[in-house]
Amino acid sequence: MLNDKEIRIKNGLKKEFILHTAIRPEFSAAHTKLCADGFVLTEEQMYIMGCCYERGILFGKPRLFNEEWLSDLCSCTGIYLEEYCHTDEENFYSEIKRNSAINIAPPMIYVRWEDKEYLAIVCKVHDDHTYDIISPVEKEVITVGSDRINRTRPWYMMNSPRFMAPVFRDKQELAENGLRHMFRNIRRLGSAPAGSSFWYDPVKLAELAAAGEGIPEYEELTYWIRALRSYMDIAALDKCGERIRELYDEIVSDTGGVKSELLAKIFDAEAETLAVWQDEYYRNGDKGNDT
Amino acid sequence: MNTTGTEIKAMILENIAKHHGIGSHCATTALRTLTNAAGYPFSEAFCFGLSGGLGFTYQKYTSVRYHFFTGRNECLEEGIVNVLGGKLLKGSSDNSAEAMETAKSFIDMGLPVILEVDMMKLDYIKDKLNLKRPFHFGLHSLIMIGYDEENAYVLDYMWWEPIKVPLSQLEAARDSQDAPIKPSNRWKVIIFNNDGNIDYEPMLREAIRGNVHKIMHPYAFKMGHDGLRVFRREFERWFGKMDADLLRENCYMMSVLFERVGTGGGNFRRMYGQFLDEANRILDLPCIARASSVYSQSFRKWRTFAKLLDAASEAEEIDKEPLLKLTDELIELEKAGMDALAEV
Repeated sequence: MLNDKEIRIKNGLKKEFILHTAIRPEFSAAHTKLCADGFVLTEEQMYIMGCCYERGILFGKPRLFNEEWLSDLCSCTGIYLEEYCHTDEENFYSEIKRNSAINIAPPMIYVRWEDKEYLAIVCKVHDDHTYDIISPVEKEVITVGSDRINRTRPWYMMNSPRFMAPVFRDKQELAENGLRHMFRNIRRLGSAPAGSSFWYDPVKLAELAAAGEGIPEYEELTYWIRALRSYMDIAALDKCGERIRELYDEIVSDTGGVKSELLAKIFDAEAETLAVWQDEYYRNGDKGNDT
Repeated sequence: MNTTGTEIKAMILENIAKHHGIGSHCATTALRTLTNAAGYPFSEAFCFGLSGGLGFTYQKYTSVRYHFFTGRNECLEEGIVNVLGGKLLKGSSDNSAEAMETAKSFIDMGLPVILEVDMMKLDYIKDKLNLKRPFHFGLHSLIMIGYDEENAYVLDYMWWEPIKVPLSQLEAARDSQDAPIKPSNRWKVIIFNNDGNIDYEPMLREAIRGNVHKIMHPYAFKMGHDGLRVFRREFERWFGKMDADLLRENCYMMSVLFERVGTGGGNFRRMYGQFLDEANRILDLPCIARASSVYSQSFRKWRTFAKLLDAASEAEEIDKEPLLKLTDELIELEKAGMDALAEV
């Protein structure tokens, strides 16, 4: 990881947590917790094991990222993910305080940063209902008030196998399982009937994405290329990256064609490359046979 | 009919109900119903094995006098989606009314919802089980497949047909504060998107390997194989530590948990043995055949254990030796099963 620094944090926690500054904020809390358990994953491994690549229409809304990635990451790696939701402030406070005092698996809560929110590890809960958290943005321990916490979203605790001295399965094997899961889901989504609960159609998805919450940034849209490249680099990934760059530049410059049509072309390029990569991978690498 | 005299039309997902049948455990029956409805021809045991659900938990909660046991782990739905593919949506809430609206909204979209409930709060279960002592079990799973203005319609593992439950009763069962493990209005929805292609071999290997790891490396020390050994050690001490009444109560609750409410050791070992048998028609490995035979033996021993415990719960004096001897044998069998499956 470029420009990565390890920051060791103990504030109120029973064991030392290692924060990697180069990890993207979305993954930071889970990554930090896993590092503390001796399971150091790259961002790309987290992306694959969390089955983060997603292109689909879920209940009529566009999905360009798997929002259930933490649950999928935990299923893939054999971690028991405890998930709770306490909308009531007093309940939330007492539950987080109680669980952070037990301190086996620290609670992770959703905290707001301007227009975004990320999961953050809670180090300590104060009597005035403020929380010391490991900030995935500032990359240090900060104190936040309850007004910055999104209690409508769940809070979590990740319980690693053999919690006192965690034992994980082989990373390569887990990554292969993650890849298989990802390709299986892509294939299934592609064959789901139009208009069903969760389905995929590049044109429709592009229309919804362009009309709705906006198009993700180029780096976000092409993260899967980086993730796949870390397992097997093929020329088609480069070509696809270039093609997406061209189409993306047209979209954001407003000089090109209709946004949704350009985005649909991006999805087509993705699908083609994913198929080529998968074919190569299963022919040369993984012992699995997902065809 | 409602108060205005017009007929209330219930919204029921018949396409799910027609795939439901009686099963041996709530969560695995729910998975069989949902996978069958999605077009997968899986037995209940196969669903259990695919979910990597075999486990063991021994726990004492401060709010009740008895010890809690279960023969599964807590990630069945997550496990099956992980190996089979699909999308699992889940949530919980401290607001029971809001949680009920969430469940209804999924039904409106044609999706059945797995709900966790305290079974003692549901009249139809209480009447059927007819337990001698109240047993607030907050992790009972059922599938909600419909509702009208006053009732919910649910599928449950001991009933063929959808059961009509007053919405208020179901809401109370989901929000129960009486169970040592509270259901917390938890819900799960699985979207399988079956495309007709099932890559059995990697799927089965992954399910088995993942399960072996969970049992040999549990996240808490009273779980998995470690949990069985801790139980053996503490069980022996019960005889010198507990008064006769408390000991009898614990023996009774163990026998109920091991057999009657289907959560205990025996039923899951039986299902896992059957799963391995079915899996081995595809994988064809001697180690799986060995493990399948081990789990069939284990099932019979758990059943004997439950019967001895039931008898002990009514005995003047409890003979601990046969109980301890059986516990030792169960631990050995579990180890033998895991050792065999570690070769997969």
